[in-house]
Amino acid sequence: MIVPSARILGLLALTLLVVALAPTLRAEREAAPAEWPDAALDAVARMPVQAEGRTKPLSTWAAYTLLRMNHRRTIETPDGSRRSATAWLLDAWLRPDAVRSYRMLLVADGAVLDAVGLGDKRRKKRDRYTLAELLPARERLQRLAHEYAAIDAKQRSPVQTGVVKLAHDVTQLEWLTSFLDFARRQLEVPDALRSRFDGQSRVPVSAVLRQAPDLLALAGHGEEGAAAARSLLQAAAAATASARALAIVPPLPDATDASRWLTPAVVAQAATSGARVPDGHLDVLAGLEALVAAEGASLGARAADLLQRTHDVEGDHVDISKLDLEVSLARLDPFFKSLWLFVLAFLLVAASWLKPNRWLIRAVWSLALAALALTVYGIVVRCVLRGRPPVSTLYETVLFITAFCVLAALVVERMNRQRIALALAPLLGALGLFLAQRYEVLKGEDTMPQLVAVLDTNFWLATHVTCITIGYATGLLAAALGHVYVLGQVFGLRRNDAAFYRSIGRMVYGMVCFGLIFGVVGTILGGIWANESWGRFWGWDPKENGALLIVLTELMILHARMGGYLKAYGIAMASIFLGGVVAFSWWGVNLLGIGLHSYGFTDGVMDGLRVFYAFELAVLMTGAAWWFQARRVATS
Amino acid sequence: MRFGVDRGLRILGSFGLALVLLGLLWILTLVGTFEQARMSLYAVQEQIFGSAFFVYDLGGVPIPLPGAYLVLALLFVNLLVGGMLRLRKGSSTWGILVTHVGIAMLLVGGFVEERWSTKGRLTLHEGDSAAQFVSFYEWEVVVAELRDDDSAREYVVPHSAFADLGDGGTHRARHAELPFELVLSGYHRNCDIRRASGEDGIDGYTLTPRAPEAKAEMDIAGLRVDLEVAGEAAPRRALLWALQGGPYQTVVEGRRFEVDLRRRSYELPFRVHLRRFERAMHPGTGMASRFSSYVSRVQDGVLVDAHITMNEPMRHAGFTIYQTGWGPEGAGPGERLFSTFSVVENPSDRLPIVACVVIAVGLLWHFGRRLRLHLGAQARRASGAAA
Repeated sequence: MIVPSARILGLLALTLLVVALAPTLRAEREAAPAEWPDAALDAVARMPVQAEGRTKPLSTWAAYTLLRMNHRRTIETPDGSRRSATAWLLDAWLRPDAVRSYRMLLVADGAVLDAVGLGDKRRKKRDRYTLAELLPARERLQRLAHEYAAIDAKQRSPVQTGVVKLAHDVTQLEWLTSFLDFARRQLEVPDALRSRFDGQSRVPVSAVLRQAPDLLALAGHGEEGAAAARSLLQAAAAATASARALAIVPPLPDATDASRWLTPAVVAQAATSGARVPDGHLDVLAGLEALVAAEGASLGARAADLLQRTHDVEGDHVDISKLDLEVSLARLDPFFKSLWLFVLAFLLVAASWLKPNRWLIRAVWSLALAALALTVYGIVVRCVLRGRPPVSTLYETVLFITAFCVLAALVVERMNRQRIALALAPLLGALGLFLAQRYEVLKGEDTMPQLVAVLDTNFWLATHVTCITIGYATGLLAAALGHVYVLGQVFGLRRNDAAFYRSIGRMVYGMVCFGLIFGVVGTILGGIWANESWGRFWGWDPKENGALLIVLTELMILHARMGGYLKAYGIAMASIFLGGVVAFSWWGVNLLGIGLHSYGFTDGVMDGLRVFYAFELAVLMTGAAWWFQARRVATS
Repeated sequence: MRFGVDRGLRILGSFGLALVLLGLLWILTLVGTFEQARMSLYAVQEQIFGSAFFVYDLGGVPIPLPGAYLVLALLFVNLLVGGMLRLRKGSSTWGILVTHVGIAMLLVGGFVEERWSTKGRLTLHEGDSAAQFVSFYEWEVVVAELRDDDSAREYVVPHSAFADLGDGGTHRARHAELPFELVLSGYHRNCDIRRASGEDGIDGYTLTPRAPEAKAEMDIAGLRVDLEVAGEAAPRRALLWALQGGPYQTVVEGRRFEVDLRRRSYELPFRVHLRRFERAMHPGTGMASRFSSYVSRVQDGVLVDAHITMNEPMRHAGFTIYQTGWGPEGAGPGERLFSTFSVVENPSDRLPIVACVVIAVGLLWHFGRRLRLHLGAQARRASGAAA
């Protein structure tokens, strides 16, 4: 039997990792060309906007909107330059015609375009389209989308889902490109009213809105100029009708709904219908007009002025104090940088397999610790921004589990010093953050969403969810160590080194024990939470069952070990199985789309899960075949 | 004899039996999870988790399996015998023993809840009050005799009397005070009422069964009732359907009666008055951020104000009242809102918290001790190697 050496394994691991991660490591996050002044980009990035129920920086909104439409955070313009999400947003505001020719609307399946009558065999099945290319089919697209939207989301076919998404993207991009149409317009002032506008014949919309109370009074009195006043107010309302993509005007503290931000269209509607509109609101509209009118270097000053006007409206009822922190977190992009550091650390580990060197090992430690510190920093800042414990969404479970796996692996390495856990730490770190990135793209939504009412409890999020997530992490680490044990035996790695395998066996056992503590406590805490929220401790809900399956698997492993039914190799095999159970509980039950915990449903996860299970099945079958073969040899 | 008892206890407390039972529970949990994609949770609970045996249909192949109820009962015995009574007592097993005690408490708590808890819902509009709540799943047939002073005396046929009448059986109910006998038949847990052709129906209508709803508390039950009055050749027939406009009314021997099918109701030892309901939405979305009810609790003439919101129920006199819903959906400003509560009376309500602490202490003690021993041995090996 040919047994690959550690050197070959090292090369193989290195090659596999580079191939696997290469598509994601493209330089997608290059800085935008300095076409817009930095000051303008900075001010627009920090502008507050309310969307999906929370107030966030405009750069965050732009990044996720672009991610959903384009499946990338940046965009390539027709001239080949790459632009950041904020630069793209400024393009959409200030150069709408150019944006209509950006190839940015990703259609994942050409059948979607066939359905709306735009199929083109020359294009790739999965391709990006411009808004201009899709507009001829807009009517049919919207009609079909309306029809398909009536179908429950989980019952829709992939094409129907694609049509609904594309229609949404097209509409949103249209709204975005026409957002500042009102600011580009000057309204014609009828002769009868020119004296009210210092004799000007054309004025910006905001100027008309400032005069709205007087114009309304005039329109209501039947005096000379009443028709002109009505006409001018109607023109102002019509001009702002398309400015409803973004709620960027903070509400007044005494507003009917003081938590809801306003779009320029709503502000204009309020003004033209006689409602009280504060000067601050109209100042923001005037700021947008000034931004549109600005040229060259003055753009930065105008954008900063607009940001200031937004802040001027802010009162105690509007909390935007954390927006700058969110912008700085996005700029630092700690998870992406950590991903790179983990990859680098793993490459150095692989290099150390080729040529053992203690400096390489020290470098791996340094890189892994630096990457872990960055990841933890990102998680902590997210906690500060959200005012929540580290895990409250499915995306955050990925970050937390990654960080905990790396931390646990490094602690295990510190205790055992076999360089096994040290190799796993950066590998798991890179895989975890890669998964987080893919999930973000797949979901295409803000990763700091608002929570449903039942989750609005930091106590249970901090206790039950954290315990369960640690249970997942340790289960996965046990599975990873189990892979090393089984594949090491199969491929003859350190074949005669019994101490090496004893050491891995102890690590697997330790991780299963550790996982059991957190799994059991977390599951019971979940039951207690359910008892506090829904009035029952245990309801056999799919997510509850998933947690129970993990606990039962760990209990079986430990009891089988104590009863002498499983030895080290069997426990390693069982821990690989445990990894599959953790994956089912973590992701699989969400795909069933049922139960009280079904807020984690994500389209597209199924494919990844299938690949994972196929791989795990192959490992288990290979491991079982090796065991039978080894047993037969030993018997004979 | 002694040998036989020992052997039996050894088997009952063996690791092998523990593994088999844990494995069976694992399979049942997995099957029960997948089955929820095609059956209601209530049906899955009844068939798989709440039964002693059931036959699982795996792609047309019937597989007899023990239900989770039986498996958990056997696991409890296994835990008691092997994990507590026969466990070698000592510092090395103290943590395991404590953990097993905690798990046993959890299983006992589950059993007590299953056997002796009462659960239902209470819906109140703002300004309304009530001292009863109704069951989620159980129904009752009520015969009310109306008196001249507008009061009524009620006679109740419980759900257990007719729950199994779906496949042709009948249940005869009589009471010494009633001038007729009730014959109940054709019970459907979830059904519609439709116009009937020919002679199949009663007054031109019949009940047609529907598949259970995904949420079993949404099921609408119905049954057929025959009133057999002494001296009348044919019974008086009626259909009772939970959503019908009003009860079946009849007069026998000059006495006025109403017969109705309604959710089983339970009395509360206090009255709940909903003063105000509040809902808050995340701005610009249809997602509720918080909904809560401001109630007053009245018992023995004493009024106490309380606030019930998600994750913060009101506990009083053995009952716990939870905020679970509200309506009407899409209510406009000024519209009168209602609040829906879950009401639970569970004698083992607090047991899981105690069990959780006990289990955590046991596991931490046991595995902490193992880790300490492991690290100690490792340090000794390291110092030995250095020497």
